[in-house]
Amino acid sequence: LNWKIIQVKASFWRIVLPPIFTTLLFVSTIFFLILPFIEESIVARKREMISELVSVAWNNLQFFEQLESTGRLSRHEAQQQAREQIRSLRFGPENSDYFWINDRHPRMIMHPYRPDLEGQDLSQYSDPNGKFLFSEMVTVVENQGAGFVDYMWQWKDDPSRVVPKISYVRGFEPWGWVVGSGIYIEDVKMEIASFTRHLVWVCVGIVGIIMILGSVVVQQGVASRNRWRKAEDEARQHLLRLSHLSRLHTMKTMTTEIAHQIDQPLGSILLRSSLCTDTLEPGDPVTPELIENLEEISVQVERTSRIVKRIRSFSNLRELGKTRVDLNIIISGVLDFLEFETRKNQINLDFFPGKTTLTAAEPIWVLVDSTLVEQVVLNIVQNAIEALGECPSEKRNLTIRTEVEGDTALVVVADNGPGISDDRLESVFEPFTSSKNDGLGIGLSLCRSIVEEHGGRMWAGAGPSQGSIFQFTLPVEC
Amino acid sequence: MKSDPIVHVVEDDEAHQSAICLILDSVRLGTRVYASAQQFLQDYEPARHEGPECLVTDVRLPGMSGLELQNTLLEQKILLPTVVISGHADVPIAVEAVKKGAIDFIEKPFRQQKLLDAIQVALAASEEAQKQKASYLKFQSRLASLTGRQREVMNFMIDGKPNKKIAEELGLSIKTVEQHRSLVMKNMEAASFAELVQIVLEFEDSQG
Repeated sequence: LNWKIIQVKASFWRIVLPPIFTTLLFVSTIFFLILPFIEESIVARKREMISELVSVAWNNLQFFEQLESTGRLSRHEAQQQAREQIRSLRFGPENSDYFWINDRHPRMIMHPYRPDLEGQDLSQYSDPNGKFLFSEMVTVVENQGAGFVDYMWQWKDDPSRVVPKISYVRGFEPWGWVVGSGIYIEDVKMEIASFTRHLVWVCVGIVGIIMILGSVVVQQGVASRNRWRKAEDEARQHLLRLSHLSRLHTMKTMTTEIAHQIDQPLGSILLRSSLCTDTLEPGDPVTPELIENLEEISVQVERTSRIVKRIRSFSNLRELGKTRVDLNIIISGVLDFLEFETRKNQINLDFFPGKTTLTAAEPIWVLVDSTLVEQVVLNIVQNAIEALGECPSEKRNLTIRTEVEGDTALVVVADNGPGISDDRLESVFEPFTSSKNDGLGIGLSLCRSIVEEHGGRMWAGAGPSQGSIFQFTLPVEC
Repeated sequence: MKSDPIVHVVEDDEAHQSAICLILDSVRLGTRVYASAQQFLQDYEPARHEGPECLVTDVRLPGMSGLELQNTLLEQKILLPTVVISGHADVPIAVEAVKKGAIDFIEKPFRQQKLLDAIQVALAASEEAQKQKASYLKFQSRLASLTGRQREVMNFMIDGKPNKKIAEELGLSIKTVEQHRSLVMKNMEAASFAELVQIVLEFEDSQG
C-alpha cells in the first residue's frame, strides 16, 4: 500500500512540477531581467526628456539674446524678460517641475521656488551631503558645455523635504549663464513602482490562468492515469481468472494421470503397511527390514503430500503473488509432475538447466508468480508431448534448456514432432485457434499474456531439422 | 528347484515394484520384475519353466499397456494366468481384461493379502493347466500307439456297440474284433471299459 501511495505521489509531481516550474521561470524572467531593463529605460527616457526641456529653455534665452544683439532690447531688459519668461515655465505630471538659472560665479539668478537665493553667492552652497552642487554644475558646463549632476535638493516647492535629484545643466555663453532642470529620483521610482504594480497584477492574472489550466491538465492526467491503472488492474484480474480457468481445465484433462500419480505411492504404502499389520505379532523383534519398510512408507507419504500440494496450489485462484524463485526449480517441478505422461508416451526427455557447476545447476533467480510460470511451462511441454504422439515411439525427443544472457533468462522447449508451418507460427498465439478438439484454445495466447505480464517475451519457431521450438524470456532478478 | 512357482511382475513405478517384491519375498515366492511390457515380452520364454507361473501386470504402463500385453500373449497362444492391477480410474479397462481371461483384477491401493490371494489363485490355475497339459500329452501318446483299425474299433466301443455289430460293420470276424478290443484296453491303459470311456471323454472335454 505504501508503495502505491509513493507511486501516486511521484506521478502527481511528474504532472504538477512542469507547469509550476514554467510559471516560476516566467515570473523570475520578468522581475529579474525585464524589470531592471525597463527601469533603466525609464531613467534614460527621463534624462533625455530633461535635456530636451533644458534645450527649450536655452532657446528662450537665445531668443532674448537675439533681441539684445539686434538692439531691440538692452541687455538688462533682455535678461530681465528672459528670467521672468523661464521662471514661469512649468512641466511634469503636476505641472510643478521648473527651470532655474545661475551664473558661472556661481550666483543664483532665478529660482521659482527659492527666490530667497536669487542674487546670492552659491559657491559655498552645499547640499546635506556636503556637495557644492552649483560649483560642480559650473565645472560640468565649463568642461562639456552641458551635463548631468546629482545631489540632494528640496522636493519641488516643499522646502521641508530634501530628496535625491538629477539635474541637467547647460551653459548659455553670451550671458555666462547656466540654465538647468532636474528630475527627482523618487519620481522615477514611483513611476517604476506603479509600473511594477501593474506588472505584478498582470503576472498574478497570468499565473492564475496557468494554475487553472494546469490544474485541469493535472486532473485530466491523474484521471487518465487512474483509468489506465484501473484498466491494467482489470486486465491483470482477467488474466488471473482466465489462467485459473485454464489450469482447472488442464487439471480436468489430467484427472486420470493425477489419480494414477497418487495411486502409485498410496499403493506401495498400503502394501507395506498391510505387510506389517498382517505379519507382525506383539512382542516381535524390531528388524532392520521393518525399519526400512516404515522408512519407505514415510517417503511415499511425503511423495503423496507433494503431489497433493502441487495440485492444490495449481488449482487455486489467488492474487498475483510474485516471489523470488529459481526458474530451474519451477521447470524441474513441472517435469516431475509430467513424469508419468512423458514415460507413458515413451518420450526421451532432456533438461539442461543453464550454467551447471560440478554438483548442481546454478539458480536462475526470477521475480514471478510461480504458479503462472509453471502453467506456461506445463502448457508448452504438454503441447510438445502431444505433438510427439505423431512420431514413431523410438524417436520422440523433447529438450528443455535454460540460459541467461545479460539480465534476461531464456527458456527453450524443443521437440522433434511434426512442427508448425511458417504461416501458423504467429497465429498459434491467437486465442481460439487451437487445432485440438478438446482444448480451450486459449493455452498459448494465455501463456504469452502471462509471460508479457512478467516483462518477458514468447515466440515459436521451427526446429533446425524438424519439430518446433517454443521460447520465452523473463527478466532476471539479481 | 525347477518346479518352484515364479511370479512375473510388470510394473513401472519403482516404489510399487519394490513393495510388491517385498510382499512376494515375505512368502518366499520367486519373482521376476520387468519395468515395461516390451521388456517382459523380450525376456519371457514360455515353457522354459516347468513349475507354475503367473503374471502380475499394471494396466497403465509406458508404451504397451497391460491390456495390450494380455492381447499379445493371447495371440501367441501363451497361457499365462494373469492378475491385473489397475488404478481406480481404469476399472472399465480392468473389467475387459477379466473378460479376456485374466484371473483377477486388483484396484490400487490394495492390501498385501489381496495380492497374495490373487497370485495364489493364478498359480493354482497354472498348476492345473500344467497338469491338464501333462495328461493330455499322455493321452496323445497312448492314442498314437493305436493302429488305425484299433482306433476304429475304439470309436465303435465308445459308441456302445456290441462286438457282433462292430464285426458286421467292419467286415471282420468277431474273434478279430475281440483281439483288437483287448489291445485297445491295454494300449489306452484302461482297467475297465468304464475307465476307457472316462479317459476319452476327458480328452474330448479338454479339446473343447
